Order: sequence, then C-alpha cells, then structure tokens
Amino acid sequence: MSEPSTMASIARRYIRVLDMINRGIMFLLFVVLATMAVIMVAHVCTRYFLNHSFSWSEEAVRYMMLWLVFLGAAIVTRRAGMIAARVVVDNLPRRPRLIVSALGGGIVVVTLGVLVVAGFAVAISMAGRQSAATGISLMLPYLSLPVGGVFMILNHFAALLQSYFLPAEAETEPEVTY
Amino acid sequence: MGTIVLVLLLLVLLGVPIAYSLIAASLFAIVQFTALPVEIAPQRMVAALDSFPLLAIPFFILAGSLMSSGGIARRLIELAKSFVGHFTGGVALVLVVTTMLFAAMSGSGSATVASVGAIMIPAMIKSGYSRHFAGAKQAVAGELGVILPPSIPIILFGVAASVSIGDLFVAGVVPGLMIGASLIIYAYFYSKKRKIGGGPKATWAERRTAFRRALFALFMPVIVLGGIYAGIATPTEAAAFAVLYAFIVGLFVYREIRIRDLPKIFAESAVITAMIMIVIAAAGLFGWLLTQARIPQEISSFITANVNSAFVFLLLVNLFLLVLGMFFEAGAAILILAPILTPIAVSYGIDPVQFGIIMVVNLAIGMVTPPVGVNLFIAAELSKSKLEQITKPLMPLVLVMIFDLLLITYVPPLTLWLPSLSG
Repeated sequence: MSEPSTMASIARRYIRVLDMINRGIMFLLFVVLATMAVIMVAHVCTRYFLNHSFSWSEEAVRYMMLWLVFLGAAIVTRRAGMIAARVVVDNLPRRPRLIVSALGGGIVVVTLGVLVVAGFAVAISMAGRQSAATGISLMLPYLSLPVGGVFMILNHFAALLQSYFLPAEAETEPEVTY
Repeated sequence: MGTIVLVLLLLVLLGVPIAYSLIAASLFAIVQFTALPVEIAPQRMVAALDSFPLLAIPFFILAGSLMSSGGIARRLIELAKSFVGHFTGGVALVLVVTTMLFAAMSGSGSATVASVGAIMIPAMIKSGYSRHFAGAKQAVAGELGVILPPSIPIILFGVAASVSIGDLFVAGVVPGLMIGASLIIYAYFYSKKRKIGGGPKATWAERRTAFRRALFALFMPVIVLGGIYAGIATPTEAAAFAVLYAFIVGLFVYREIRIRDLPKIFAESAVITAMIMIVIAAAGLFGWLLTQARIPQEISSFITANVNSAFVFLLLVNLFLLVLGMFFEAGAAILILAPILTPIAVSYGIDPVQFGIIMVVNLAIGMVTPPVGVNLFIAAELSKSKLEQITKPLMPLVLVMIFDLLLITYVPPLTLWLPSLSG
C-alpha cells in the first residue's frame, strides 16, 4: 500500500514546480499592473497639463488588462479562490460530496480545454490583423485567454491534487516573496 | 434556449465556480442550439473585457489596497472615535462611521469588511456586544463599500446598461449616507436597550489631531469624486489618479508602505482584479448569447404585457433581485440583467440612473444574506461565529436595509437630486 504516499510525493513535486512558475506569474502581474498605472497617470497628466495625449496609451492599457485578468485567474485557480456557491455541496455527506466535486472538476477541465483550443484558433486567425492605435498584431491581446487558460488548467490540477493527497498542507502554501 | 439558464443554475448548485458555470452553460448552448462556431466563446470573452471604463476596476482595487496597507483604516477609526465614540453605543457608531469613510475610498464591499472589520469587530466584542452582533453589524455596514462611490458594481452597471458611471457615482452618495444614518440609529437604540455606553469624550484638541492625522486619507474621495463630479476626469482617469495619490501618501507622507512591499501589493491587487473580472468575461459571453436568442425581448414583452404600473414593476424587480442576490454573485447578476431590465425600467418612466442604484443596493443586500454572501463569510470569520449564529442578529439589520431600499426605490429625488445639480 505504498500508492497513496507515491501519489503524494508526485503531487508534491508537481505543485513545487508549478508554484515556481506561479511566482514568475505573480512577478509578471506586478510588472503589468505597475506599467498600466504609470501609462494611465502619464496619459491623464499629459492631457491636462500639456493638452496632448498619446493615441496608443488607451489601447495598450486595455490589452495589458486582458493579460492581467487571464494570467491572474491562474493564481486564483491555484488558491481555489474562484467565486463559487458551495453551500449545497459542502453540506452533502462525504461520498456524494466527493462525486459532485469530481464531476464539477471534470466540467471545469473540459470547459477550459475547449476554451484554450478555440482561443488559440482565434488568436492565430488574428495574426495578420493590426490593432487600430498601436499597430501591433491583434494576436497579442487574443493570446491572453488561451495562454492564461493553459496555466488555469495546470493550477486546477494542482488545487485538485492538493485537496485529495495533501489536504494537511493546504494551508502551508508559501507566501509569495521577492 | 431557456435551457441555458437551467444548465447554468444546475452548475452553480453543483459548486462549479460562477465563471466556469457561465462559460460551460454558454458552450453547451453554442453547440446545442446554434450554428455558431465555438471560437465565438473566447472572442466574446475578450471583447467583454476590452473596454476602457472597466479599467477603473483594477485601478480602484489597487488604490484601495495601497490605502489599506498604509494604515488608513486605523487613522479613520481614530477620527471617528474622537467624534462619536462617547455617545451611547459609541463603538458601534464608530464602526458605521469608519465604514462609511472607508467605503468612500474602496469600491468593494468585502474589502471594506475585511479592512475595517479586522479592527472594529474585536473592539465591539471587547466593549460588550455579542460576537454575532458585531459580525452582523460589520457585514451589513460593509454594503456601503459598493453603494458609496467608488463602486465596482456601479461601474459594471454603467458599462452593461450604457449609463454614465459618473452620474451613477454621484447618485450613490445620498442613498449611502441615508443607509449609514439608518445603521447608526439602529446601533444607538440597540445599544441603549442593552445599556452599552460610550468611551470617554475626546477634547477638541484631540479631535483636531485625529483630523489632521486622517486628512490625507480623507482627501482621496474628495479628489476622486470631485474630479468626476466637476467633469474633469472620467472614472477610469480618476481611478488612475487615486492610485497615484494613494502611492504618494502611503510611501512619502504616512510612510507606512515600504518599497519592497510594492510587488506584493500590486500582484495581490492583480489577483483580486482577475477574480472579479474573469466573471465579467464569462458573464459577457453568456449575456451576448441571451441577446442572440432574443431572450431579453421575450422577457420585456412578457413583463410589459402583464405588469401595468411602474410601482408593481419595481416591487417585482426588488423581490426578484433580493432572492437572486441570496444565491448569485453581484457582478455577474448585474452584467447579465442590467441590459435586460434597464430598457424595461425606462419604458415605465424610471430614470436609468435611479434604476442602477436600486439594482446595486438590492445586490448589496445579497452580499450579506445567507446562504451565499461574501460580506457575511468574511465577517463570520473575523468574529469567529458560525453562519447560523450570525443570522439571528442579522435579520433586523437586513430589515433596516430593505426599508432603505424601498425609500430609494419609491423616492426618486434621493438618487436623482445630487446628479441634477452638476448639470
């Protein structure tokens, strides 16, 4: 009966690698949001004080927000923090609760899978088109969803593995430090 | 096509997160009922987020967390205490007043509950209130976070129903003050009955000190609202300015944020943004599909054929939203329902700005009503109460809120007077 502990150690290794990636994502989120804030403040200031505004800033900040949301959603998934109504499920007896949770988890994976595949298809189809203000390829904003989606799926598995094999360690998720 | 709504409800009940439930139900509908390619799903989700007004959300979240990391809550509490702390039920009054002040800097109900409640709930318990009442009081007061501007649900309503977010922000001020006042009155009588007094009365010198210490914090809503009210800035620009202001105050004036804390504050704000906005993306897709199926028109013609007065329409809408708010997430509900219900409201002669505030107050009540309520969960955790225990002292407070809601619903000047002044 070494199977549970083997699974636990695989789960632990998988989570350790993923959490390293997640730290990278967190750093990216910081950079993107800080850049958004700087551009937006500069946008407002130049408009009021110099009566001049960059045409690209609004669009750039909107595209950055797309990346912020879809990459951030991966971290939310890792923390099992997606907004959900869990009253009914949490009050079920153990067995049906596990079945319903597994079913729900499966639905999430399929949904994300479809979204990622369709999202990449859309992004590729946009490759030749240019955005109105910055002139970058429209593939760039549209890639945010499928790329974020991949990390959401990876983190979804991490959250599942954690709750099944390492429930005791659920609270010890290391704080993100820099 | 109505099946899509049933599928959605089933998934939500199964505990599937709201965002995934919305996407899964939409994908199901696309494959089952339409000739559309599934590629439409990611396209509509991206399109739903690709909006300039929505940018106000990450910026207000960031400004709020820069402010609360900078020890703002404590300064506001000291200020409120020096002015109202000595009255009967002083601590409960301080809780409401601080929450109102904090709400004027935060766009979220749950963040307001978490920041103010972390200090005020223990203070309430220490001065003789039951922990359940303390939790309930903070949860309900936290609703002001989304009623007093800035407010994320109000931004969402403005985007979804194409109503001026600036006007909506201004319209929320009087209802917010009124709700605050009613919570203060309730706390006063509740405390009087239980003979819970106040603290020592502060001198004017102490009040001046507390005021001076909180001045930079208090100035933030003045800048934000003033800018929007005077028509100088759009809400998104005002939000960006709020970030700059909170940054300077936290880093250089109060000096309670260290440079090395910044990556964490920014990244965590991004995560909160993602948590809220992934639901917006999903709700955008779902709402778009409903429109494609002409469901809004069907609902509209059904209602206009069967409801013959604005009075009854508003009553039904309130009932529907109150029940919905008990189970559903406010942001998603607003994005899906505002485009459907607002045109109907306008056809009954109701001002869309007033209607927006009615919707937001309704769904704010949903944030404290069990079984699903974000404010309630956080307050229960902070007061170490169980949901069943906190529900009893909560009920009279919810009744007070419903009374306020009816006033807001049937007395239009409460919402429309202030915006009308700015022209």
